[in-house]
Amino acid sequence: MRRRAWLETAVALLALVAVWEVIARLVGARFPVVPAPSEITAAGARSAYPIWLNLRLTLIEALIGLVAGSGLGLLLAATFVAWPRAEAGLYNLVVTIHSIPLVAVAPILLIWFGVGITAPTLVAALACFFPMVVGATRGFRAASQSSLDLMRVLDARPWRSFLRVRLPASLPFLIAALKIAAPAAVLGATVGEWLGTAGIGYLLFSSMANFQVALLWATMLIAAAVAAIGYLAFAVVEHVVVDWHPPAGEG
Amino acid sequence: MTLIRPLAAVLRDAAAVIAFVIAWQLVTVAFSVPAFLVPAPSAIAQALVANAGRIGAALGQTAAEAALGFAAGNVLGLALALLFARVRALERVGLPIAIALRSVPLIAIAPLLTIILGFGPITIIVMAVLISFFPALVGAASGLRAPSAEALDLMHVLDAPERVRYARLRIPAALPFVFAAFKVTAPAAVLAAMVAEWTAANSGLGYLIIDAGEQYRFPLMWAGIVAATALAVAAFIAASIAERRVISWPVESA
Repeated sequence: MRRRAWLETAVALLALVAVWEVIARLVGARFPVVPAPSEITAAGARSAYPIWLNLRLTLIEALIGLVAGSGLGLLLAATFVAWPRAEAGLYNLVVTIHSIPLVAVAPILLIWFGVGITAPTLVAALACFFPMVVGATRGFRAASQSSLDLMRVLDARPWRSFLRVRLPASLPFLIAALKIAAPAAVLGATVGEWLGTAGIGYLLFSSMANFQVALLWATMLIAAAVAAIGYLAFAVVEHVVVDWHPPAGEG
Repeated sequence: MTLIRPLAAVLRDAAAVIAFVIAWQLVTVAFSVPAFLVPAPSAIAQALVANAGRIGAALGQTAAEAALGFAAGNVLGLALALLFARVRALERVGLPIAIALRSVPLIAIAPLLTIILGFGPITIIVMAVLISFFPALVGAASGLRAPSAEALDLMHVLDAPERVRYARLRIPAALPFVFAAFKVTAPAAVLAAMVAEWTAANSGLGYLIIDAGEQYRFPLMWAGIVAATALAVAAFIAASIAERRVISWPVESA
């Protein structure tokens, strides 16, 4: 049944591409901003090497950002659970920082760190940080009270009950947070590169400025595919690891 | 996060913010931190006052574009979710695509959108539409399916007409999902509008921040960031208040 649903989606997408190709060939001359899929593929193939060089940079930034941002988020959530007083003081600060639009942060980071890998990486980390804080805090709280009581009765050390009870209980929430964080890291790195001189974000911006429409489409589709792969990777992990109970309320 | 909190908590938060601003002011003055790193709050406030007209106009423009896009995106998303609930075949094909697109960083398509739709407000509004559309669609589609089998069976046994099933059961069940989406997409629409202003406008808050930075007018740049943050927070609070007004029954907070 699931396989059939995937098949239907794939067929629908293929049909969409076919219709797009036909329409673009019929009216292409009057509507040059939407090239045919075959033209986009050709442009992507012609520029495969520069695209790869820029993509590699973006991938490195996004990966470092994902690890650093969600790692820090996890640490902060663990702190919140260990010292509830810290949460009372810091949670609103975290929410406030999250409220600063990423696009407003990117120019500041660029001024601080100059053109290079640092600013996009930090934007990516910032994009991952908040989903992880929220997800992990909820996850650590999701442990059953009776299990926690049992650990207490057994006189277990706090870190042991954290490792044995809270962490396993939080796993569905952590993976759900990573499903959000992974594409967000790609987005963060891309936006961080817009004002820079290299990376997928730069390629998007420069091909827009130079009106290289087919290259712009090809770069865009690759960026979207990378983000989607980040999401799907954790969706697969979720499917394999978390078969005992999905987190409530996640679509 | 609750919105209506005890007065003491509100005062404590306010005190924390004020203490933070005072500390920021003291550090920037005491160590004469250069303005390109972090301007002093007093300098930002000065820039805010001196450029009140320009910042106000930019704020109004961005807010209007974000609000228009948010409204249109949600109307479209909710309408399509209702259609999905009626036509299962459409949902089977469309929902996986929608879920994937909800997770894809749509903001990154701003350059593409600018090429397709051209330089101007349409591109900015469509960007906000795209950001609001998919979460609304996915949230409402999941919410409309959320009622328990028992509740649906009861409606069936009572021979309730389709209209009543929606009004009494499916739509109330979907509302918490829809408002959870609102709380994410209302500030995201502001963000989306600002991103599109980088590529498709020479006005609005997004452009003002970049432009001020490029002219090394750092206090003005930070004043723009403060205004943008205030707008995003206001959008989130408005969505939270609307949620509170509409959903009077207890739900597990998302």
